[in-house]
Amino acid sequence: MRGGKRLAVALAVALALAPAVVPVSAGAGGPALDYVLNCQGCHLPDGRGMAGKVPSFRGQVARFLSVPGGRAFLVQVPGVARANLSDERIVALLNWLLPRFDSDHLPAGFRPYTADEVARLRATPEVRVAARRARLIAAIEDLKELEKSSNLSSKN
Amino acid sequence: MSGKWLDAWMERRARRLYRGTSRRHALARIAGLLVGAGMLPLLPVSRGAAAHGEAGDKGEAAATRDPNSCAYWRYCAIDGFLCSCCGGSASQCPPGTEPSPVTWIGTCLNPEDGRHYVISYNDCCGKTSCGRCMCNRNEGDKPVYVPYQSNDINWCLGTKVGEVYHCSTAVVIGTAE
Amino acid sequence: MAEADQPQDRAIPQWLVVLAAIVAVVAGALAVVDAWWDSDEGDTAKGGKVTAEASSPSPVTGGERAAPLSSEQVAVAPAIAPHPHLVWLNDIAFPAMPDGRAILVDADAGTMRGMISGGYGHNGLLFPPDGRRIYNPETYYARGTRGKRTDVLTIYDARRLTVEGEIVLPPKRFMSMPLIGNAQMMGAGRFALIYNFTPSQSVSVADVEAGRFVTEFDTAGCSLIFPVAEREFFMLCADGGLLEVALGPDGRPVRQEARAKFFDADRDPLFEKPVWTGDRWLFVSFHNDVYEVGAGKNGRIAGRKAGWRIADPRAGWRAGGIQPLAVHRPSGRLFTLMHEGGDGHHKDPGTQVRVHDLKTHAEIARWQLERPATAIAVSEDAEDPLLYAVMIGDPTLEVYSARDGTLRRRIGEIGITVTLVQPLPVSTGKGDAR
Repeated sequence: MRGGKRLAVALAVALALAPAVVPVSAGAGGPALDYVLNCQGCHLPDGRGMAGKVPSFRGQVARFLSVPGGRAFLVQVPGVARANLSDERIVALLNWLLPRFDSDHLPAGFRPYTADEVARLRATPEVRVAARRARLIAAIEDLKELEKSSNLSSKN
Repeated sequence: MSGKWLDAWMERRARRLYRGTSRRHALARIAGLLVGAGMLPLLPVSRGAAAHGEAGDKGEAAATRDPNSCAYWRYCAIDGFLCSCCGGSASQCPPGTEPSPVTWIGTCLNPEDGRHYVISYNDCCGKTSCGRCMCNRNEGDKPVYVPYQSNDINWCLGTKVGEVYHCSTAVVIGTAE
Repeated sequence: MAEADQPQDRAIPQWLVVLAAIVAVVAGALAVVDAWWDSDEGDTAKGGKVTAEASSPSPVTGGERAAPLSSEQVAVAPAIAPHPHLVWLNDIAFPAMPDGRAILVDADAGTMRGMISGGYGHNGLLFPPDGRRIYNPETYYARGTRGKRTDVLTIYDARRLTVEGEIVLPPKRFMSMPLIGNAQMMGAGRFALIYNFTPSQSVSVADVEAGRFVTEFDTAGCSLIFPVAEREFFMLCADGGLLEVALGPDGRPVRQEARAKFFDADRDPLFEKPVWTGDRWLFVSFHNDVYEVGAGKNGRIAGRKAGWRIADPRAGWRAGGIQPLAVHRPSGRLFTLMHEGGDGHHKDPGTQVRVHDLKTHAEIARWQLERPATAIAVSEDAEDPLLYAVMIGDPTLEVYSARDGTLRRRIGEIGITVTLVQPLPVSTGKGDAR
């Protein structure tokens, strides 16, 4: 059964290309299949999760890349760090997931994750996830305020 | 009274069968006997074993095509009551129940076309246990510390109706090849 | 009442008295046959006792009659005196899950002694070291199967089985096939810990001495609760690592540390169904390898491969089931439930029990079970340990000698879908670290 994941991937269902809305379908490729088998059960096909129980990816996940510590958090979060996937497959999954569910907030100069980086970070999975996520989200909110005010000032 | 007598009878019958045949075969027979007697459709584990064991006797192909059989191909890691026996189908919840939004996802081989399919094992929730067609097969099932690959979990999480489990579906959500 | 109820025998014709006598004799004979019928192989007269009323034919002869039975008042059976051959059978009642229960059986007498009604998705009981109370994490819906969910830790008097109180918990208790790691006692009986899954993972702590909920903390990526010291426990994580947690004197976590993986959760996962040997938890993997987790040299919790296995899996036999391991601490023996089968059969019922010496790792015995089983357990007494075996869906408890594997008795009509078997702890109050 796990072997299925390692099988060559054939596209079975044509995917519409609208990002972050259309459910992920199995058969769409390596990282897409890894998402289906390892993440989708809880994060759901369209990445929206469940409010208060499973964090949403949609319009949210790439924002972590813009605040200090956020890039590391996306690897150290146990769902990623402790997934039974090789470093290479984690790299492929993250580099696929970010534009897939939150292309709007992907920073202009986004450097794709590398295997060395993932190997190093996942060796120390985050233990107090809720607290760290709360701090990062606070930082993201500050950044949003900053963006809003700078937008206003640029208009003036 | 009759239950007690039946129990005693089945017990002896089962033991005789058990001694007279190979162990695994006997197991399947015991499960089949109990289930067949309509007494206890509640032997999850042996029912799963029975699905394997009986396939050889009855013809594998027929069982693997029957959505009311534990041997149905897409139930390769199902654990619970088949919704297809409870007023739903392999991919539909029975009337008045609510599908769990979250679940675990695995793959099963369809012998008809030789393809591996991705199966989403959504539970149907909000009514007491259906109680029919108990199956437990564990291909690729992992312990609960790998939650997204475990069938021992009540997946009626995040439903509006609450966490009361009714039956299990096995929804084909794509190919895995 | 008794005196007013004098018999009026003159009104009864003689033929009716004779007929009654004949009926009584036949009934008595039937009862004897029934008892013999029930006392199956290995069972003794203990299990199939014939009641006095049924076995003695009516003494009515020529108008002479024995004194009538004295009248009774309904009452409740007296408090249960604990002994090591009492055993709790936990029943999730799978075809009617809102109605779970735990059933107390006296394995010596072959009788049921009482019950705890466990609510929705009943898991297993918690026994504090002093043995006076029993705690059970329970879930209820306001309208039976719907409405507001309430989780409570219900407090029972261990001898009278009465409800003494409850502590309300966050309504997040993990609902699964029952596992001993779903809830555990720590702090020498002061704290009850409950594993939560929503699917966010966390642990709730209740202070049972103060009678209040203390805290809930997140444990993302890691599951179940396995205490190793008075205030330290670990959880198993999805990648084969573990999370070590230390509690402060008030039950709040003071240290949470991730430990590197010590097994391969993908290729050869450990059953999340270990046994506590007194100083460490023993696990068995899907491929029969033994692993252990305990306090390491530096005082920190560490897991390791123990360097031996229950059996060569290539021979076709594997450990498995719902509760595949049992330890008898006085004799240092490990009991493993085994079935024939390969990958994907890890929850198949076992038909054999293998007995190993925990020190030498030598296989001491190999017993064939009379009926397939999904759970085994061993009583804690040194003198005459009993091996219990149950099969989910088969309402029968089998009691074997844990010394030689002979069947002592079989107790029927017990439960609906019995999962975990919990012999009454006898080591209570003797300084078990947990």
